Amino acid sequence: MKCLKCGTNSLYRARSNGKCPQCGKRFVFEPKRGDPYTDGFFQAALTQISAKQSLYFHPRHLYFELARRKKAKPLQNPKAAAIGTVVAGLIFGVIMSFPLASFLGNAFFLVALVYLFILFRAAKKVISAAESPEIQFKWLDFSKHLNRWKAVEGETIPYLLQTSDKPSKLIAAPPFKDLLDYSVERLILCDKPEIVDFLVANQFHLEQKCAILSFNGYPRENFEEIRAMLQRSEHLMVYFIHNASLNGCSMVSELKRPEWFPHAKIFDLGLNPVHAEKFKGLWEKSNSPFRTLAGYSEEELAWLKEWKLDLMVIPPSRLLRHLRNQINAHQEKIVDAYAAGDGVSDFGVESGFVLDFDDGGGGDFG
Amino acid sequence: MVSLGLSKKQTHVRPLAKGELVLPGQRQRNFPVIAGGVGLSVSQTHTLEQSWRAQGVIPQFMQGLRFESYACEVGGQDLRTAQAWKQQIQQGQISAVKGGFVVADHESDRQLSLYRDPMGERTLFYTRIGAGLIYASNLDLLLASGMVQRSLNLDALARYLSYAYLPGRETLLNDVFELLPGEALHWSQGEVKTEHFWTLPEIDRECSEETAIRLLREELESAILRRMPAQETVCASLSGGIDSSLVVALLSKFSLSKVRTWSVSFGEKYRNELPFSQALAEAAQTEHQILEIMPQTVMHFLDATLACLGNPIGDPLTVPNALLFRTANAYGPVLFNGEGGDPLFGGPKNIPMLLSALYLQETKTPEFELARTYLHSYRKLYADLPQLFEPETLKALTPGGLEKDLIPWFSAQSEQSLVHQLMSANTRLKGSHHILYKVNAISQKLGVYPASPLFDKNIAELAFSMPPQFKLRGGVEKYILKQAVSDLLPAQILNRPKSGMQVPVEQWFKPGGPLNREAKHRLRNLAKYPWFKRDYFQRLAAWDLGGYLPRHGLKVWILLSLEAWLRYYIGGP
Repeated sequence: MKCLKCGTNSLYRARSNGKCPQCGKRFVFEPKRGDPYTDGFFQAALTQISAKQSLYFHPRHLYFELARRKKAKPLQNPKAAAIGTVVAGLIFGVIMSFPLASFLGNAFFLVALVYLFILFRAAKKVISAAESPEIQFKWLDFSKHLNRWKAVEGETIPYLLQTSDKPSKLIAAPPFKDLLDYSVERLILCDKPEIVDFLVANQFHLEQKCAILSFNGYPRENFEEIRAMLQRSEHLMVYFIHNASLNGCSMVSELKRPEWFPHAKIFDLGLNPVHAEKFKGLWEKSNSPFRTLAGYSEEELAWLKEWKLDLMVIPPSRLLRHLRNQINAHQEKIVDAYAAGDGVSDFGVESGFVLDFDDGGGGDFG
Repeated sequence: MVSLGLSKKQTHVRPLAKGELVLPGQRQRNFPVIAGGVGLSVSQTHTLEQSWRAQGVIPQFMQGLRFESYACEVGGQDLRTAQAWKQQIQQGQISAVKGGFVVADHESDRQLSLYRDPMGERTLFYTRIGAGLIYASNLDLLLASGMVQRSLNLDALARYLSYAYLPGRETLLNDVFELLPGEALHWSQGEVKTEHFWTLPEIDRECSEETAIRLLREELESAILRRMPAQETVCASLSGGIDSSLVVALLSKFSLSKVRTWSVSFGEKYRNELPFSQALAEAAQTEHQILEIMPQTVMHFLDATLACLGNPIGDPLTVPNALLFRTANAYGPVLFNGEGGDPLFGGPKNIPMLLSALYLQETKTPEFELARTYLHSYRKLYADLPQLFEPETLKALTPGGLEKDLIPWFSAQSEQSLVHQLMSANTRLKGSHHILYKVNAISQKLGVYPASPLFDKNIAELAFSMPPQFKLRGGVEKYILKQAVSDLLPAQILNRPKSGMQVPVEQWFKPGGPLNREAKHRLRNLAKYPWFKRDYFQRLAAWDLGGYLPRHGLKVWILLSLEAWLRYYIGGP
């Protein structure tokens, strides 16, 4: 295993005290003692998720990145793999039976039965692991690992945002008297405050000239003022992003209500069940009571009843880039409409706006 | 984008990537430049006299007044003589002068006063020589004195990299300064004092919207009429945005002959604004041409353009601007532009800063945070400085200097309007030191006067006296300006969203792009200077700076402009 400080590769017996034999640096993880990854593996995930320490990220971004990296490559044919496991196990068992039969005597049949049981259990596990869409890595385990990392590498992980129960505090009273006299024409509406923090920390609001709010009233200090400001905007466009979950998907229909933005153009950018296939292996079990939702097919509702998919499965750089591309593409459509001398009163299209995960080298999500 | 079916053969001009920027047959128009000094020894004066005369400039050392101006008038009277300027100064009315000027008033051989116009349409550099002082209207002329040590000002270097221009008095050379717009400098007995003879006005709450619209229209027409050449062809650049469109529409209204207009394109495969500029050209019946500029052409003229500039400007439009002036030289003495609408009337820099103020994290120093955000909003190399500079360079910088420069613009007090303060900062910084500075510096050598009517002093005074809510109405930028010209412009231009002129630097410089090899070569040269980390340039050249929007191409351009400037003014690494 490689030391992150001096780069020395060491064998387990040389590092059995948990330290690098060359420089004495403590290792955080030890796969030989049951940890699921090495320090290098964890560091690589951190580097990837922060885009080489240039983007802020949430702990759940890191959680999904580790899960994605840990996840075995999907098998082309899980059943064939299971049969292969059984056949290989049987050949091994037959070869071993000759010396063992005379050694074990009557107990041989009992050992053979146990062996066969274990063999078939292993084959079954191969099939279920290959086919399960559920994330196999527990959040609680990840949290413990993160704390262990902090204990050794330092409490402050660069670009890591605070955990979800403590969204950062924004200033309550804007010091300039005219701050709320104006408006903007774009809003990114999120289903969770953590996404607001994530976008603001990465200055997405400055880059794309958009307000950012959460559906449940975040940032608390300014929420009503910002919402009132947006309601005055004549050409407001709302881009809604959310988890593919019963809660997340139910919110979009409420945005036409009077307390929200009855006159705005609203674009549901997902996630939705339609995106789920790309993220197989990162799904989580739904824990919301089922209710039917308008605009979703039977198949999608069946998926939502059983599963949910967190928006943070999308790595930060990809999510920011996708959002930016979608907003810019929409803006270009509007400019083109003006250039053609038509569509002046029509601010774009309302439907057909889903996150397209296939642009620019996709396929590394699921 | 949509084509309006114009014949490409008739409308396109494509400058070649060869030859000199200043063409041999270019019309030489008499653009006076000024230079002089005070408090110098006899031998110093003699040396300067010889150096500057060799440059074709007659310097001023004794009592007398020299000026350089364009479209200057006061009370309807043109200011064309030294006597008229002297009278204006003696009456304490220099602030009432409209137009661009720099004036050097040698009250005696022991007293000198320098003045620069309020908006910064003209430029004046100066430096101390012992107890004395010398000045010149461009940096080359000042350096031609042979008395200036060429050493780099590292704080100014950090400013250039953060803004892509130099936002204040300091130049990239230690001890060489630029007189600020609206400033007077007085030298007497070896002592230097500066004072602002003009400042941006405060908001007049009594102004009604109707009055503001009427007054603005009057001032727009007056500013354009005052800058129009008496007889020659009227020339203008036309981007297709609202600002240049309104200038062209008014020029066409007042001009007896057809106005000649140009738009810039970088080739059909890149998004452009041509449908808008062509629509306006048709509506205003101008003689319209598209200047199609290829990447190799831009690179070919980069060095020559930077040599015109004096202070470096890392704006990818510098070379296209220079080529526009060169093209216009054959037709008329003045090239109009639409610069000024954004900083004066609530253009696109305001909304990101408003949002930034709304989403400010809890902090003890909100003005410091706003200053940081303002620097970030330029989207240049501010955030990259720790990776770009060697530790010794970082140590040599004034701690927090970049942010502290800006704090006066963002001192958050309950009675202040953020938009008013932002527009002040944008006008004073970007307006004067980037936009007006650039067009003035480039045009001088290309024999065409730049006319920026929207930066007219009276228009600026009117714009700043209006409530900011007239300019930024809801989320609509430049609302009042649009209202003032709503009868002149087609709805498709008046109501269109801003998209801006994008120079395709990302595509040009990316690995495999047409200018990638040349950029790498020049960046390698820049990396040899002692202030920079080589590793940064390697990552930049490999398009590997990280982040979701690293803007590699723009950063390459800013650094290439710096490399050309350093080679010209300081010498090789």
